[in-house]
Amino acid sequence: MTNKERMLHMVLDDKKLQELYDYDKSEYEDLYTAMNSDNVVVAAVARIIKYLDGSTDVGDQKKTYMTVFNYINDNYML
Amino acid sequence: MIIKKIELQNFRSYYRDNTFDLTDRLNLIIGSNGDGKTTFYEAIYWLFRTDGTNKMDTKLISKKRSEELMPSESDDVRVAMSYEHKGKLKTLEKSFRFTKSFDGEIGTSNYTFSLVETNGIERIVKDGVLFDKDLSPEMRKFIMFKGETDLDVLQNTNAMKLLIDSFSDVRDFDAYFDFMQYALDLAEKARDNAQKLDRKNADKIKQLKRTIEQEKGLLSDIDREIKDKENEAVNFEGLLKNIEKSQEASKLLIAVNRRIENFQNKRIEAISRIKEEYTKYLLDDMWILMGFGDVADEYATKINFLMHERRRQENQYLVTAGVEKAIKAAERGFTSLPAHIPGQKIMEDMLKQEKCFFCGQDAKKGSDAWSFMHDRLEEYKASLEGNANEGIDPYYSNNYIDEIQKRDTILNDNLADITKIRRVIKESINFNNRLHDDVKKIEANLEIEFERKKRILAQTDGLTEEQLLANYENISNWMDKKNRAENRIDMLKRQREQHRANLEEAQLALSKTSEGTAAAMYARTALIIQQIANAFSNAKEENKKRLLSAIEDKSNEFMEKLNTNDFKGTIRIIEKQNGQGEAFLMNNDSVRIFNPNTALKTTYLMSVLFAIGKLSSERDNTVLPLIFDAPTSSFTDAKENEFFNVISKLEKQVIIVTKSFLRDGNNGEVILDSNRVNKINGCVYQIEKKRPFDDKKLGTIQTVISRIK
Repeated sequence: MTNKERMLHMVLDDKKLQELYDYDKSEYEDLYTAMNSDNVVVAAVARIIKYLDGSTDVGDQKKTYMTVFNYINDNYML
Repeated sequence: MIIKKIELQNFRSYYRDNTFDLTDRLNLIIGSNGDGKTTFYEAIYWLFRTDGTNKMDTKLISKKRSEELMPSESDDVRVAMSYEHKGKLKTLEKSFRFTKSFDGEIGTSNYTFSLVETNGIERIVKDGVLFDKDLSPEMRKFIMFKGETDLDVLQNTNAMKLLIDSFSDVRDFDAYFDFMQYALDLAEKARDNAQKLDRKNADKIKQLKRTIEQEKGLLSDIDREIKDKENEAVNFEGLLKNIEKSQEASKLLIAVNRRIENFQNKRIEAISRIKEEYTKYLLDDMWILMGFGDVADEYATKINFLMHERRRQENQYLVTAGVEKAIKAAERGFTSLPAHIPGQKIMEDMLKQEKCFFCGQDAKKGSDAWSFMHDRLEEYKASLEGNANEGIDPYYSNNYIDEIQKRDTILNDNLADITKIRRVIKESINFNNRLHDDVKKIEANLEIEFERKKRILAQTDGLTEEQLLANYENISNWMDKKNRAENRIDMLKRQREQHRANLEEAQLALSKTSEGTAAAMYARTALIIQQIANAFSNAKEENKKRLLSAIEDKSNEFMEKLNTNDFKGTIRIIEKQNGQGEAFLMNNDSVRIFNPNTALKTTYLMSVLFAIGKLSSERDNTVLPLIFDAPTSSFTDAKENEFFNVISKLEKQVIIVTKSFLRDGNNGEVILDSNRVNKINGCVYQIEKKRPFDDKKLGTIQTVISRIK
């Protein structure tokens, strides 16, 4: 298991997030599955982990933010 | 990382080439004082320096080798370590050349520091500083330990951060945490811009934003206060820790001081009761009469003799005079006492008590004895009225001797009072002597207490008596302050939970306010990002908790093994300020053990190190060796055997330089204890000074190494 996958599991393990967005964390063993999830929050978390890639560079942060922001805006159904 | 080989060439006492081939388990390098143990450790330390310092120090050069060089001749100081790391074989090598000039000076040159990677037959030479990638300078603090004091690695600044970054389940959380803050700021700005267009809900939005700002402000204040209180608690704990060593000494000192004060008071009291103004009592209390008894005895003896002589002469005279009365008296065969003896008062007492005070026999009224005494009394009374021997001229016309005799009787009557004085004097002197003895005993006790006090003060690392006493005073004060700070932290944390809930509620309400408007999506996105940020934050904390808990569990497993037959306690690990951590022991009643003995402390700190090493290998991170210089100085032989047994069974590379396993031989020489060495499962080297050597000449010192097993 990669560091990113461990991080994904640990973030998705958050009880409040599970309650709010009703997902089963056990369905998301790897990053790929999470990225392609129908659950927008799960997919957003996976994108953050994948695209930031542990970087502290502001450029990487900006790029990741735009990706995630747009993804939520485009896919979340009110 | 597994160290395969260490090579030392002309490094201080290691003359020319010396090679240690190591195993991936326990490796012991055994040597006595001055045999080169610490030099071995320092050679590795020098090799690991990647900061460019201490490159070509002439102190590192073998004195023996430099002295034997001819002018213009050169040789190298070289330390190399071959190791396996992530499937690759590498050699880290540091060296420099030293040359002797014609005037005998040693110069240095040609410093090299390289990392050689061997890949099959290919050999890639890199800069030695790249070793940092295999073993970072921070991580070196977790693998190299000199003595027993170095072991508390968690106290190093950022030690916990390093541990978390290196060994926790998930790394790089900090980067994601920072990003989430950045993303949240942008998302909220986007939401706020979009909501500006929503005139209908403007007031509600304004109100909710105000609530959000208030809650954020409160949370920020609470966080700040929590941090302050945590600092406060840590500071007081630090202060308490600093004086924890002296706490016992403070207690002992207070007890000793109390005893000293007590003895001093007793001494003063005893001295005040001693009354030795004998000169005053000599006259005031008539002690001068103490010798009166002897004088009276002598007086009585002499006067008796005189009286006896007078009566004899008188009787002789009466016999001669032919007086019948005198003849009868003379025929009694003894010289009767004069009529006034034993004196009217005594005679009357004897008659009254019906007892002879002289012979002690009863003299009942009417008995012969009583009648005799009665006649004597009457005779005495008559003698006071006139001479019984009328008609005969007295032999002595004056009664001077009788008068002197009467004086003797009076003196004897006074003897009872004189005896009382004698008893008073004796009691007084005995009493004073007893008090003197008491004072001596008290002073002996005082001497002992002062000695104890000196010993206590001598063992407190230069702390003065005042400092020790002040420390004791401070303990309860600081303990109270620490507890108050901790209680406040608990309360603030509860408040924080409440305000977080309020904030979330307000954020949710703000998001919902925009429902049905153009700002809805932006508000929702900001909320989702907020919630994801919270999840990252919680995950980061959970990650840390899991790591600490895992280290604790593993540490306690090792502690169980290392301390089989001794008190263990339970190891706890906490995070402190400045990225520091702290490992300590707890009793089963959850009370911290403040003063573990050195062996116990060494054992639990080593347990923590082994636990960290075990975690790193389990989590497929870098496998780290551990290198110790004399880690078991405070251990007993039994504990040491137990310790090395456990270490040799660990699936871990450990290199220990030690003087354990040596013992005194029959001729006073130091020899290897083969029985103990044979029980050790691992590689063993012995290092010794080559003999003979000149104990005044460093140039004759050379470490020779031999592999024992």
